[in-house]
Amino acid sequence: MNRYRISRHRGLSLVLVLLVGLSLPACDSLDVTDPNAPNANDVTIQSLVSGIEGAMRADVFVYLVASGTLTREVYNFDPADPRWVDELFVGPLDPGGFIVLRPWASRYRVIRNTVTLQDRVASDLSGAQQSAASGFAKTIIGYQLLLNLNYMGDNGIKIQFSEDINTPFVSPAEAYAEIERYLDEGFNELQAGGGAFPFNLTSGFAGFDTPGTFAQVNRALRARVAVYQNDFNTALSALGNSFLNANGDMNTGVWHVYSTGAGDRLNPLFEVPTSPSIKLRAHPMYKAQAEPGDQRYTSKIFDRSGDASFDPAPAAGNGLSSALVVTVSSNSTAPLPIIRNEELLLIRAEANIGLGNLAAAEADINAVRAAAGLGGITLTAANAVDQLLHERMYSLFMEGHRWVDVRRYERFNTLPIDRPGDQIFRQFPRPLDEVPEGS
Amino acid sequence: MRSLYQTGLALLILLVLGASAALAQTVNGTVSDADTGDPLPGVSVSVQGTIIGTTTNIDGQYSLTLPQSPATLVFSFVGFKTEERNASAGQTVDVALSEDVLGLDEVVITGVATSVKRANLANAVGTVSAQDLVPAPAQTLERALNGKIAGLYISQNTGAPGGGINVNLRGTSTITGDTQPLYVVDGVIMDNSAIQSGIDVVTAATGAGSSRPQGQPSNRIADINPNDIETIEVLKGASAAAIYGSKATNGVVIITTKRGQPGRTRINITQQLGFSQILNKIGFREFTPETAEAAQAGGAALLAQNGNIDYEDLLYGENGLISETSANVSGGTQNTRFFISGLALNEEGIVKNTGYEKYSGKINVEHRFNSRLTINANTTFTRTESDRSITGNENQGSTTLGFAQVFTVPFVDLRPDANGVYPAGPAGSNPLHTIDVLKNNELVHRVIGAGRVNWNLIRTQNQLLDINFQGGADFFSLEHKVVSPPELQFEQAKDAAVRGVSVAGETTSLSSNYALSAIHRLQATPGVSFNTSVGFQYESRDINNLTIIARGLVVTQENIDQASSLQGLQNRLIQRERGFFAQEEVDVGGKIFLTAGLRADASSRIGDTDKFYFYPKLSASVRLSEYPFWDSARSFASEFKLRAAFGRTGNLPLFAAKFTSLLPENIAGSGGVSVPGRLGNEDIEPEITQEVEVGLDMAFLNERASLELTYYTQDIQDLILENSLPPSSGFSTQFINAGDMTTQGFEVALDVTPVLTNNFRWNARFNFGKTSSEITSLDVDPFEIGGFALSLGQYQIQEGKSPTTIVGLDANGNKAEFGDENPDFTLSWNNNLRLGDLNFSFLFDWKQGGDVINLGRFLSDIGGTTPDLDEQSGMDRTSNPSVADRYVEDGTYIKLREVSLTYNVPRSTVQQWFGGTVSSLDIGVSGRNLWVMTDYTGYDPEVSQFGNVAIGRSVDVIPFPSARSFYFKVGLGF
Repeated sequence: MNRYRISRHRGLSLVLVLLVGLSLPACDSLDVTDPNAPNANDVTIQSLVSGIEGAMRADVFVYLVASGTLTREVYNFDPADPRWVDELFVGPLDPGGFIVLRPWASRYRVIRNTVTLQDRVASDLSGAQQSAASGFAKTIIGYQLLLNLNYMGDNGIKIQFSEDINTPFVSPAEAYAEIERYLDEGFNELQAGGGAFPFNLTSGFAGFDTPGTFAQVNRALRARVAVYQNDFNTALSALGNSFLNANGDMNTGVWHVYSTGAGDRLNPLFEVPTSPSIKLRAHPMYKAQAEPGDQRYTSKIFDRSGDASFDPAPAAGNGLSSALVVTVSSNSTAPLPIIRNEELLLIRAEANIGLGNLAAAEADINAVRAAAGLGGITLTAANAVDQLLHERMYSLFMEGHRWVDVRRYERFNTLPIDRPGDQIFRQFPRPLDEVPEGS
Repeated sequence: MRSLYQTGLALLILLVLGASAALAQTVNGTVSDADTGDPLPGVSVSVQGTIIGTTTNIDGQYSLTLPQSPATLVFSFVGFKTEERNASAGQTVDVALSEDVLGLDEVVITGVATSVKRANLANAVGTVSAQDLVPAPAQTLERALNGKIAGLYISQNTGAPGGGINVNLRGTSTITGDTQPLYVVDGVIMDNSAIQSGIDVVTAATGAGSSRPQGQPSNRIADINPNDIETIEVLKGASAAAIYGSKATNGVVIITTKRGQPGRTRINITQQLGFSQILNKIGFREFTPETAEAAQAGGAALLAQNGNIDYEDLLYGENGLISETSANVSGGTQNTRFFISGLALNEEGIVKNTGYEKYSGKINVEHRFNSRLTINANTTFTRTESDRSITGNENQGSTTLGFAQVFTVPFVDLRPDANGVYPAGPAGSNPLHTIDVLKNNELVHRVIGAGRVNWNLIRTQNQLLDINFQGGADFFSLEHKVVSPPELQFEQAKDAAVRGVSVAGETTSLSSNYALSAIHRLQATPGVSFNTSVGFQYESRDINNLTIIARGLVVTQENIDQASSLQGLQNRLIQRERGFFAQEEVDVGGKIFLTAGLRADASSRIGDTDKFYFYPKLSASVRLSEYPFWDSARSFASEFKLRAAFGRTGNLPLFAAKFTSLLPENIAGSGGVSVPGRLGNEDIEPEITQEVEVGLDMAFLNERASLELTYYTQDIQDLILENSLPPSSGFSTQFINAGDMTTQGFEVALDVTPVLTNNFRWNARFNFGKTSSEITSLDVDPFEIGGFALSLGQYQIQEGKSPTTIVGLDANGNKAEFGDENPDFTLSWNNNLRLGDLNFSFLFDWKQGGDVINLGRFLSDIGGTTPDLDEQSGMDRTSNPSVADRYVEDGTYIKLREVSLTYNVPRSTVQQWFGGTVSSLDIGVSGRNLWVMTDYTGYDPEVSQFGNVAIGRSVDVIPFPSARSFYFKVGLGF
């Protein structure tokens, strides 16, 4: 009886100790902060700017290859995804598919990053620094909106960055006005931005990494927006404040840079040109229309039609054929252009053609041709636009311009139909997630 | 607290006094097995109407003091029919128990620490015992459960070694949440994470079309050794599982592992040897000179030279050897019992250099200090390793075997030449080379420790108070090693700086939980008893995943430091949960059984971590057959029970759902951050499932047949959806609670013993399940989920529709419905025949209906290698402009899951052969997945490119083909 009592008390105290001991962790707060990622209010402005520059590269591949495919710059023989040789040639273009959605979403994600930057700039910086950072932010927003407007064409874009699906699409004219507003306000702020940005940009912006020099990039983009609207005088005046240099290197400009560093991205267009399996191939039209000795063609396209081991028409091509390997990038860390001198010269030529100044246009076009190892040509009212488009076709191959050019000048009839039943599409449909169901 | 204790003590003294007033009167006897005549130790012997009881000793003997004489004694033991005997003081009552073939008398766990007899159960709880679980060796536990429980639907995601298996109970319960049941092994909540291997880095499958991970990972319940399991109980729905609260919406699988029995120390050793081979081939297109030339310039010449090479055979033609050695030692005394087991399983896959190995050891010790204090400790160590090769979707250039297979025309010879040089393949890779050198290895070390202390505080003639502690920890480390060497063709296509990929993944996971409960049993008046339990449970879970991706490997090197570029990724999960529970069970004369319970849970995964969510349950069952009015019907049905149950459970949102986690976005050595695609929701709440289940159980034909009929309806509220945001906001999605769904269905389990003689017994069990779901309200626009794109087939979530509706674009580019993944029904037929010393069992599993998006065929059509392309059916198909219309296929199948034939060598013969050293010997042959009948044209209609997702499973992008396996078995008992 006695032993029983002792063991029971010992047992009871054991239970009590257990109860108290175990309930301690059970009373802790269960609130856990995100162990995997920082909060937008805590990161530095430099991190936000690097993030913006980094994220601008997201889905550049889809943008360039999808628009390049629609306008017959390239084929993408990707066995993993037949939509590249299927949907983009015969339709219907899938408004819910990644080709439509991903570049669109990535551009607005950069804008969201930039809006976050603007909020932080407004609260953390003042004076010239604030003005410089804000000018940078607005220039980036204007550029990102322009890329999406290029993708959507007549379908327009959204200019409110809202989680409400009912925000309207605006017409191209309204969209251009909004892009101009961002660029023009940004330009004014950059001019008041002092001698340095309150952050560093990468080597892709070398030479354009102060408010004053970045303003030249802003004006270059403004000139591009102007010629897209046939506003030639504005284009010329914007170019006056840009980095255009008729005697300069064609590649002077700003670039997306790539590296093998941790968490960085690689150049998405690069493939080893001698590899037996090449996905990205230039359209045969580029070989057919190339002038002999055009270094733009020889440097950007590697012709393997003499290589017996190379299959010009693999199964993934679904009847399409090309032995032309795209070599716009020489390796996986080569940069891709945002805007560069060669385009500015061609914009100036286009504006002058539009204004009837053929001599001035001819000088710029011949400067571009000379850089490509070609002789000069004579512009006439009859051939000026055709010649301009030809130069742009080779000068700006796989830089995202050809499609916009064909659309602006209504040259869809000049694009070949490779297979019976193939179609040419003017633009992409509005993304499914932007349009309320039933509308 | 103190005064409560004093009151309790006073009550106790009164009761003890009351009891001792009666004279002690003893009855004793021996309990034996009616079949063999052997004594049965551990049989519970109790006095009906009281809680007085004891258990038989090693020799099957018991001695019990009766509170009054005469009394009725109840003899019960796991796996045997319960017997009742009248006894008077001084008598000797010997009882022979016979096997409970139908399981009517088994005890089923219904609470965190309480259990009830199946006959009283108000829910259809599925159970599988050790002997039914693994008639043929199973790589993983889930494979062994196929077809064994009504309402349980098991489907593999891929045939790759190591598994990746979906376990579904009662249909669709969520759109985005956890889909797998909660696994509780001896009281420890087991981590069943499916962790991505990093093979996605090589395949880039998650690149272009879909952001959902596609590594088809194995899930970690695979680490359990099925041979260690004593019983599995499956609480299928909310009404049964409510006491597990916020994690129980997908049901709860309660696993009890084996423990020793008092008596002679037993040693069992089983050796199985076997092999596996591909179950079902797709076939390939036999090219003629004309079609070869049309497919490729010079094709006719190549065909003349090489003929049509069977790449399917070259890739999947291995006969993998299988060896399983399992051994256990068990025994003990009346007070201390032990069970020690070991397993070595080695399976080679049907693809060269693939396979699965499992080594596991387990110790289970139970000690009874005295009649009041019992302690149990249980430790398992497991090491599993799988080599899974590279299969499924990809976006890199035919990196996976399936892509290479369908894009390689069979008249091209990819076999290495005399110098061992692999020719470049037309698909962008040479899969034979890939198989030889690519590594995709997964290595797990896991320790699970569980402990249980049961302390009896009060025991009188009519009441009992136990304090029960159950807890444990589950730790595993998972190492992934993926090496894609630079010499592979698809690596050669990359720049030298990034040619060759090595991915090293390291995941550690520590889950621990404990529950402390008090259980009170009160025999109020004869025939009415109360069982009350209250307690709390605490759970914590920490997962840390590190992945290092090295690109630009130095030739012949795999180490991540032998590379020109490195990328590190880390992802952590921290989960803390606490819950309180209380449950009251009332047994009225063994006729009516009532249960009411309540659980309250708070979790770190919910927006408001201080808020408790309540999960009640209520159930009732009435055994009509216990009433006198049933007498006239008793000859037909000896047991007849009506039951109804209601319960509520939750499903937690993803850990990441409440956070807006900025993503790293580095550029040129500068650390940047970017907003993520997903916007956090700080107000996210759990999904709530309310279930009502009604049913009847009956035993008829002289207890030769039993029938379980169940109908259930689940109302799932606050569905967590990953709502699409307009991308112009900068975000793509956000998790929100925005919809309701109902799921209903019925289950039939029919168990019959058509033949039962001394020498021959045939037992057959049919499990039938049918379930359907419908979205009843949706606060957002209808949306597509899963798949790759609308044109390739996706799932549509829309009010009034089944959530597994498959949609796509029709020939005119308009969205249209093309099918539904949900099967019309599932039916399994499990047979067990015993003829003398021969045991024969087989299990058929039938799934009727349920559509699959067969993108594998879509790809082989593009590659021009589908077998029927030169026939009318192939031409008709490829001329149809609607992809979804072409490739959404019926996934009906009938599979012969298990067959086993065992001969138990008669004891006399064993005695003759081995003298006394060996006590039993059995030999047999068995097979798993031996045969399949299906019209499905892919490898297996059981497939999921996206792993265990709730919606979007049935997408086939040429997974690792399924295998059939054969075994020869020798078992020795000592």
